[in-house]
Amino acid sequence: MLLDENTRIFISESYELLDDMEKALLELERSPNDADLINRVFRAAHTIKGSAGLFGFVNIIEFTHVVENLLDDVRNCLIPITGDLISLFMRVKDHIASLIKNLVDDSEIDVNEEKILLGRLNSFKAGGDEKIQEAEVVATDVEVESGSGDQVESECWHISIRLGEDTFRLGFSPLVMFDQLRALGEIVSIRMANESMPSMDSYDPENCYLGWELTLKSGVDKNTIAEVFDFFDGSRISILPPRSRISDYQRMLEELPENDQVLGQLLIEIGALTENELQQALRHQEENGGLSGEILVRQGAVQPEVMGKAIEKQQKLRSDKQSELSFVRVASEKLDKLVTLVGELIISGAKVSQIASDRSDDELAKSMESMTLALENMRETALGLRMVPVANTFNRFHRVVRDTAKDLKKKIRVEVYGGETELDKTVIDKIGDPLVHLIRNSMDHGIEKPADRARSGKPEEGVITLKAFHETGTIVIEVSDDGGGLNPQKLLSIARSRGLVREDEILTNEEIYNLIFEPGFSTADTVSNISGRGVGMDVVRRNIESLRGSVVVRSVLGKGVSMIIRLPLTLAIIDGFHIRIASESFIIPLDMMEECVTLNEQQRKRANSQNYINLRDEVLPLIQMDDYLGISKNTKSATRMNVVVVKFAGKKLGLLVDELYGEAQAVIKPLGRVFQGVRGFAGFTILGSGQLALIMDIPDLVKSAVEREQIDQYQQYRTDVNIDDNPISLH
Amino acid sequence: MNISENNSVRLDLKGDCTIYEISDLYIKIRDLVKVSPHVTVDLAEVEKVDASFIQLLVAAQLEAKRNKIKLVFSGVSDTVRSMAESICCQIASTGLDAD
Repeated sequence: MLLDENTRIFISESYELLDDMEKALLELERSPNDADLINRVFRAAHTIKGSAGLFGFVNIIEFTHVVENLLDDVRNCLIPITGDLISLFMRVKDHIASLIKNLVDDSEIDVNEEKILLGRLNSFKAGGDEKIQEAEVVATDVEVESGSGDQVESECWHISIRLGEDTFRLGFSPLVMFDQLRALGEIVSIRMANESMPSMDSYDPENCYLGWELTLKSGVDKNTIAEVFDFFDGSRISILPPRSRISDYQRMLEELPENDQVLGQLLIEIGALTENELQQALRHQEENGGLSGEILVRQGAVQPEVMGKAIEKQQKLRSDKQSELSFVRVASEKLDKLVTLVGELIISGAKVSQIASDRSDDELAKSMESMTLALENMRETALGLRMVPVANTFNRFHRVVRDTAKDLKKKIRVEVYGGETELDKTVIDKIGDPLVHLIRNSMDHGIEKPADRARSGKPEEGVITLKAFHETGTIVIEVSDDGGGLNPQKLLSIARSRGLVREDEILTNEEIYNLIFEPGFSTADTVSNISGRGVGMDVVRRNIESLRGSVVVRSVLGKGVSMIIRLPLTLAIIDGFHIRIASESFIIPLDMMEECVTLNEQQRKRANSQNYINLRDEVLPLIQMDDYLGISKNTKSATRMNVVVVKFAGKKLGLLVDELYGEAQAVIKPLGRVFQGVRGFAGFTILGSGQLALIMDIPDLVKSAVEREQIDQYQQYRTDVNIDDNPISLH
Repeated sequence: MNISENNSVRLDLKGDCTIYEISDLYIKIRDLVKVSPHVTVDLAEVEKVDASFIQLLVAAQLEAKRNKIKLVFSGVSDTVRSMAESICCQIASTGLDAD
């Protein structure tokens, strides 16, 4: 289906509303008496229904209408909030999401699910109605008399207008407003709302106190009517569609400053409500008030807390309007394109800088300096556009945990820290699924059954903790549980039995933990539908590594497991440091760099023989970069005496390089498919000179250097004890 | 302002009655409804009006009702009437239909 801009906005907004709905439902499970949460759920359904109405998405309107009806009863305390009800609304939310998804990709709608849900919604509603009948016979009488359920009979739009105090001062005339309304349809009846008109002594002649209640017969949509009032800032406008629900009128009555009875009479006069409908609305309101149990301060018959909600709604409406003005939704591909263009600009800029420097053109160099500064700012801004808080992704796990915990018959809650931490959208999009895997794994294998937890002196409810924070140019996402932890002995014996580890191999705990990421490795004694098939963890690691990230496992037996994921902040442009090794240029990500050290003669000699140096009384392992990369043969430089100290995941490493050129912005270009297997490089970039430079992937470099060292040691060990079998191939 | 023998008061308004003149008009009308139980405001020579003026008439009429004062607007021109009607201020609530 080809979607126009407005439909796309409707879809993305609906998804946001559904997310909020789910969040509110989850919170509601913990505090079922929180009226605010119920309102949030209601508002989501209500808004989706309203917006769907604008586009004529009939199946969404019809379904959400039933949902909204039940929610309204829940809101009015006619139906108690139970776990079952929340589960039902969760399914409802999923179904609405699938209805919306259908707009995007024409995916099939689960008609069966819809039938089941409608049946359950109606049976809940029927159960609720029985309760009303028992409690309040009069209520049923009124409904029977009006004969129209909870809708009013009026076929007209009802518009309630209270102009803002500054209307006259701002030069706006109600004349224009009425002219426009008349152009939209017929004003069937109208009454001035004079109640707020002050006495002559407190009257300010320049203030506007005018207000009206009117009914309009018109075939236009709500937005068109609302546009009439666009310029009337500070005005209070309610627009109720034909055959609105009594509860909508009730809310309107609550929102308006005048006495409800007087205002109600006005509504009867203009034919917006019948006497019965008014009584019903007013009674609903009283029931609402009684429910909160708070003493109502009746000033002009407005309940403060209801008023609060009304104001909140007004503010939301206003802020929605404002946010329409101050936010522009942009397709992420456009942002990607922008970042790419900025990248090209940086490369061209570097080229011009190079030319200026080659020609010793001071003037050009000076202009380039300020241009470079502007380019750097531009790059920051462009990248900033793609940064989004991880909270959106994290929040989605509440639902995953809730549902999975129910399936597993375990009690588990999620705690989130650092949700405001920002990360590149591309990275966030790709990290969601691996995180779900990790969480489900923790829930299934990590957290014990309530009885087992109680036996080991832990609270019955297990906790999954999600943390996000920044650390030296990377973002760290930590998924921890307070479950049983990993048993290294058990892991090792499984790995040995599957031939993943040789019998004579000695592994550190960390290496043993990392075995869980091996393909086909599963520690679960039983295979469940959640996890245990050994599929997933290897995919998790692969996904994370494809984002230039890494994952580390920490565990304490009996206390729990932490999976620590490190990801680069962005995938597009980095601040780099330009170096030379032999005759080749390389870029080291600046974030990973600790310092640069120039070695003296003595240190150089030691470095050549020992592969480490003493750096301020600390042992710093060294990598002879030219040897490591195998580019030393013909071009070994006699001047090599620079060490770049890099740090990653708490480990420091010195890279022995030939020359340090200084900082450079690097646009990361991916390596071609042929080079995808090459380790230690994150991509390449084009330098100002037009020359290519490989960008070092420090985490991978550290890892691969450590592995190589271990292999060397192992070989040494085998030589020492004289084991002679097939030599291990290096690289 | 004219005060007649039977204590009734009459105020003749002339020229423009818009937001620019509204503060003066307000003071005149406010004081008027305080001094007499029977007040007539003549609008025959009013040339230009706006919503702020119509609102003032409504407020004055409400005040008069509260204080049981008879407030009559006389000589209501088409200009005034059409403005009142255009912005849906009922003739009854302003008393513009009194004459």
